[in-house]
Amino acid sequence: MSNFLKVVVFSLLVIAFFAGFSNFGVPQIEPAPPPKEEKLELGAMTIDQFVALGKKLFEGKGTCTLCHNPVGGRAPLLDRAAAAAAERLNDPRYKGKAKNVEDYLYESMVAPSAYVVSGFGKAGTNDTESPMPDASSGSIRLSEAELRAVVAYLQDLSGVEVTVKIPTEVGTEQKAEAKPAQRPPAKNAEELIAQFACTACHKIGAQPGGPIGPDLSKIGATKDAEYLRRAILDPNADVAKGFARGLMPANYGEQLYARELEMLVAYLVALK
Amino acid sequence: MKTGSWSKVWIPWLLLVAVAMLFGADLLAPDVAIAAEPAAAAEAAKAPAFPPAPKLSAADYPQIAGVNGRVAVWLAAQLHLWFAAFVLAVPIFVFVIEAIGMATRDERYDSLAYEFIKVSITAYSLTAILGGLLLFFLIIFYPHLFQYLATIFRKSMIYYALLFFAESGVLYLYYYGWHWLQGGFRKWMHLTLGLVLNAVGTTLMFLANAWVTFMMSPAGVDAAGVFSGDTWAAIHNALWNPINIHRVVANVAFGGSIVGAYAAYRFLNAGTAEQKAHYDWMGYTANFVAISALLPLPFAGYYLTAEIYAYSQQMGITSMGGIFAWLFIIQAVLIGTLFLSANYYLWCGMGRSDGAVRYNGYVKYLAIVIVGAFLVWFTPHTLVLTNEELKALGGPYHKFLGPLGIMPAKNIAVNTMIVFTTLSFLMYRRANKIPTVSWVKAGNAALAGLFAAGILNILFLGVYHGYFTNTVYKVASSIPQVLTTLTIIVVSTVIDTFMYRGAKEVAPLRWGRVPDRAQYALFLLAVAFTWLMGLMGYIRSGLRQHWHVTDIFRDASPDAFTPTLGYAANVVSVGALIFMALVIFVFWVSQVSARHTAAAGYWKAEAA
Amino acid sequence: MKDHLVPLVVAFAVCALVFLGLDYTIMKMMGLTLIYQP
Repeated sequence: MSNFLKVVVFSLLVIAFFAGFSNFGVPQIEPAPPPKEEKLELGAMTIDQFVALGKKLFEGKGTCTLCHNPVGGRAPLLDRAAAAAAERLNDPRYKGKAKNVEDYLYESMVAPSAYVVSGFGKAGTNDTESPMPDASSGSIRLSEAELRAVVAYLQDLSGVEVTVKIPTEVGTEQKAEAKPAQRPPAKNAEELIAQFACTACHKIGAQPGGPIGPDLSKIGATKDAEYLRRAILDPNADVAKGFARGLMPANYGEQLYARELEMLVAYLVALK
Repeated sequence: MKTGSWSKVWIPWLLLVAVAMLFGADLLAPDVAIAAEPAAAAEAAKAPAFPPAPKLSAADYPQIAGVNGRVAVWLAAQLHLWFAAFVLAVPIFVFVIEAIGMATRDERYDSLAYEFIKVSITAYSLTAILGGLLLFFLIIFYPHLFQYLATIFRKSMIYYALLFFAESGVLYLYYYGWHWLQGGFRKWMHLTLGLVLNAVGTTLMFLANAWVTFMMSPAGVDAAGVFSGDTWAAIHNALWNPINIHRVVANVAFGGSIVGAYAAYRFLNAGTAEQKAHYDWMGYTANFVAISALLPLPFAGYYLTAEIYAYSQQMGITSMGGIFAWLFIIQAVLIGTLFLSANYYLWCGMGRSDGAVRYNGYVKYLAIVIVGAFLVWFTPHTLVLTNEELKALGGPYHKFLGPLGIMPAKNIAVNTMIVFTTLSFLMYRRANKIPTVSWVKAGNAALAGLFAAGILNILFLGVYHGYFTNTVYKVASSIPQVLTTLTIIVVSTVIDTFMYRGAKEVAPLRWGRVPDRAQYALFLLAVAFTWLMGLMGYIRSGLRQHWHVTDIFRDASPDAFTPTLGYAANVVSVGALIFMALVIFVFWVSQVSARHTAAAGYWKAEAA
Repeated sequence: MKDHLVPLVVAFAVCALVFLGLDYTIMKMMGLTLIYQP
């Protein structure tokens, strides 16, 4: 009998050790709760409620705090973001189109590479490419109204005046007011490449580029126009050897104008 | 039938079995074959369209006062899996041990095999009971989910249910007919029954694996969850094969450890030297089975994780870089425990042989390396720091320890642990023997060269590709790294086996001459395996977070939240305790039938 | 000592070459080279 007790006590101690380590030896991170499909009652909201909505999105659906937190060190802290925005607009490294703080903050969520804070760029890009995804698409997919709410929250957080007007429509799929004006077509392939941050993943010619996608510096020597067009429109149809599927955005067909696509293909074909 | 002519029987038997399996597979899964044909797809299109995945709200989930439905399903599923793993594993090594007995004509193996299956027989009904419990809980607490899955998998579910007739029938014949089907042709029939038992059990598991992997990586349905009618597509989803492989290997490791715990306990309670010797041998054999399966297991897990990443980057990153990252640190602690425990058992066991004294000096070096590898294995990348500490350190990563937290260091560590465990094992095998072949020096040199070159290769691949190249090279280099380890294991075992053919014993191996603490190493192995399996069951399910079926069917229940690691660990611990109690019952029952109480004066006196 | 050293060195060299060959072949099968080429 005493052997039985000894073995039972031993096993209980072992289990207690594992349970104890899991409870006290590792940080108890509370994962985000399941997203609630809430209808946004925009018409009835006050500006304070709109700011509160922005905060909720910032901490929830927007997944902002996954990177914008003091522990990870992966992204700048945003508690002074709106205050810093004014300086950034005048910074020579600023590549975007915003003219005021509100538009700057909005742009930083949908086109993050417009300005990359020092030290937070993708490795090897010298702070020209941001690792942040576009918050209006992909798995985050904040709607127009939600993006504006987050802007309002960031303005409030920094202690500056909240200039955002509460939108009347939620505006999910249609990017009706997506950019301040409809995006003018790019004038040349280089502009297109910069605008769509291709070098975030691809090395193209003299420009430094990340290693996530194949090196395109001499792609015209091995691939023809038909292949390149398909690679842009349907990247997973034929993934280059040694590279992962599902990484390159598959929606350039909807984002590029037809003329831009042809311009880009012609440019790549000429890279020999 | 003479021993020398066994090859004349083995080969035709194997051919017969292969042919039977081909036909049997065809019989078992005609729908699988049909579904793959385009004609059936057209037929399915004519059939009424399948509904999309329902959009549920909290009210759609029945609540029973005082019962947490989610925990109920969780515990039922985990307990069912523990027992299912056990009853699938035992026939695998029983089959192998019975075959060894037949080949060597050593009856001890046959008795050992019989004892293994006897110990586990009650576990079969417990597996079924827990499976039924799981089914009831699913229907009660998640009726819409079950209906959705049953609609898609209804054909496979029918086969699943019917296969249990085969499973039970074969099992009863196999177990109860053990002493009847002895000698000559009958023994071959019996062995075949063992093979069929394994085939049926594995098929059952593969079918159930399809349902659970479908929930993680759905296939055969569109974005709205409408089923295409192609059952095979739904079964054959991205994670099906990785889970199949992982579970087959992990089952053997787990099952071996449970039986080892049984033997360890019987050893401690043994009265005679003969009993001690028998249970020592049984424990050693069970441990050998468990460790043999443990060695390739990290690779099966790596393959599974690679497929998870390939299916969904987000799921992959969540598992290892996101909220579940710390869970894998806990897993590291458990795996380290397993390796340390297994090695410790081997080192303790060296005392069985008089010749082991020669090797005792090496043990401390092996221990240092394995403990060191374990420490690297379990070092996290991100440190848990306060703001002041963050400022002082200049970031969340320690300058020297940080690099040990990422994958290349982990890969080096785990490959090292596996290689050095192999070394421990080889040392154990040699301890009692003196080789008599002529090429001992060359053989030892070959082994030393193999291990040295292999370990350096593992380090080279891990350090150079891990820290001085890019992500693509880093990940790719882990494949040759793994293959290096596997090569070392296979080649060293082959060389060693041939080198010690006909070897002289220093002295007869003294089964039973092993300290009691070695048995506690076996208990530790069993408990750690159980708890680890529970933890992995949690991650497999938790990875889906608030989805019943990833990206298709949302979990809208009140308990859809992803719990903290502490909460999950507590549920796993409660489950492990229940499992241990049930297993103790299983083992106890296997002994009880041999007990006879002489009830004097109870029965009527017989007529004179 | 030399008696033991020679077979050891030979075995090590042979195994090292075999492993490097394995590395090279596997990396090549994945479209990569053994030495990193950015």
